[in-house]
Amino acid sequence: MNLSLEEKQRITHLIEEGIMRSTDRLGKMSKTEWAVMSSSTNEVPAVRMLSWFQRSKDEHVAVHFRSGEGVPLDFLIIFSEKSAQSVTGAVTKPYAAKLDGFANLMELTIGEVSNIVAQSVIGAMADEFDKTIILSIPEVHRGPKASLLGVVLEAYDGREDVLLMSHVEMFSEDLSADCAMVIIVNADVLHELVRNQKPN
Amino acid sequence: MGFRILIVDDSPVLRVMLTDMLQALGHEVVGEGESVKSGLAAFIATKPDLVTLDVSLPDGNGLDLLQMIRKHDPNARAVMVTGNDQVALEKRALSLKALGVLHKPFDVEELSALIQKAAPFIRPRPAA
Repeated sequence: MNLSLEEKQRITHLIEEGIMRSTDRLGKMSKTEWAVMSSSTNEVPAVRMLSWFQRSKDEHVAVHFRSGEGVPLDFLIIFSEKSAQSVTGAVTKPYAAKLDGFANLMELTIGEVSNIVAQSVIGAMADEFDKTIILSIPEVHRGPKASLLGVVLEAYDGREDVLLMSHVEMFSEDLSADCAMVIIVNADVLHELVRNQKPN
Repeated sequence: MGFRILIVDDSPVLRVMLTDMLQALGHEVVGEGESVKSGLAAFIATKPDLVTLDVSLPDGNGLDLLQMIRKHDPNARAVMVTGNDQVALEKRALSLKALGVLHKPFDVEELSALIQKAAPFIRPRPAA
């Protein structure tokens, strides 16, 4: 289902506002300054997104969130293995000795970092639409990009949902990381939210 | 003054970080919960002076848990510690008489400021 140009601009603006919020929070977590080098958001057909993701066979780490109440949506954040490792190293450094015993430290840390990023983006939408959106706890998956996308596409219904993809490149002096975000949201809910958004 | 504090958060990494900060501030972490169910059980078992509640939990949310805790102990004192910074959610937490909301990520100074602000409303209780 397609968004109108106005709806697309509105949603893109909110996602990008959320991404800017998330760099401040990432900076605080990793004790280094982050900047967004590039960011783009597009409504993409599922088939095209899958074929784009199939280009990379490398291992990636993906974190999946759902929201039920009020605004049902699925949210997936995908990091390359290298990005996931460097972000984990930066965030856990001050607590390295105490976190040493966790066998799955990267998954746990990327889950928490993605939670912060996802909450920033969802928070920008929720505030604009005067709603409360509570995300599920993070579910972390590893594998090639296309199979990770499959995790959220299971929830996608082409007749009723909108599929948005944001590609974000973030950079800090000490490390570089990039991630992709995929958001699936019910089109009727999105139309209604944009129609009823609170006045600026 | 040091308080006896219970942490409820699904993330073990966050629980380690929060425990470290609370101990550095002179508080005692008396228990941990990772869900609504384990958080409620830990609250009943430890009777903490203060409970920190995450919003997103695997079997529900921290706001519902706060209401359950209140049913068990109307004088329970709680702060929300969450990555969720939505205005409507913060209003809802304060309407449930949470003593404050701390947004993740936070540093030890912000945590200290929140506890200091809440301190006049916290009555230390004997351990369970």
